[in-house]
Amino acid sequence: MRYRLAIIVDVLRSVSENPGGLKVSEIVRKANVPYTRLSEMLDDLEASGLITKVKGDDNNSAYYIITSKGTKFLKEYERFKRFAENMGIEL
Amino acid sequence: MLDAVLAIRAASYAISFAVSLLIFGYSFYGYAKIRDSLLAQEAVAFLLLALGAAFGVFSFWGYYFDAVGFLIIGILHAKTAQKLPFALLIMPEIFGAGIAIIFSLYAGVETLLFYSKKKMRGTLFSGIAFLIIAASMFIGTIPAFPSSVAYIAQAVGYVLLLPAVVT
Repeated sequence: MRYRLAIIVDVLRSVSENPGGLKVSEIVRKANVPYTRLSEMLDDLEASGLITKVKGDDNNSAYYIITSKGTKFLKEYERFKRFAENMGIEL
Repeated sequence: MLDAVLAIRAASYAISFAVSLLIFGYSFYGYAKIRDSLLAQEAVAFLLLALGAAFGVFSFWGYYFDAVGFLIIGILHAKTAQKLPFALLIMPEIFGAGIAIIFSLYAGVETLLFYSKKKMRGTLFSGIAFLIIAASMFIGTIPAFPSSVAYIAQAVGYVLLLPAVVT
């Protein structure tokens, strides 16, 4: 079972790997998260300033891109994941 | 001779206190940054080990802080256990020596099992460190054994935890 933090990191990673942004359907597939759960999570991440929603060229589709705060969070996560693994614990 | 043992004892507890406090601070900082509850538990565990070292200098109460600290570390490892039954197999032999010894030993074995999967040098050092700390506490309970050896082993064990923070 993946913890919420692990899912958040998977979502942020998926979005960060696509600088042009990702649609919700693409995040569902790449991060392997059910749509209902992801929808709520994206709202939380946006409210926290880790991702931002932008309109597509056609003005109908929305894309999510990672913010500098989100990139910083991912770096911090990797840093402390390594620390935890050094201590023998898997985050 | 007694002065030398007392000096080694004081140095050992000072090193244990400093390293535990450092790992407490780093874990707590990590928790503040990424809000992972495992890091919060790690912080609490090492705060208790720091208190254990502080109180251990002048009273037996230090062992109680160590016991709870290593209990939390043991629970943390149980949550992400690699091969729990194997790690538990070696525990009964020294069961009577105290909860702190049991769980530091358990944490050491679990960490080494984790190392066998991850192959990270810091994990190897931590695993060995927990085992040395357990051994130091164990030999510290044997009256015939020179206590300075136990103190030196304790200091070496805590110093070996440092690579977890710096690598």
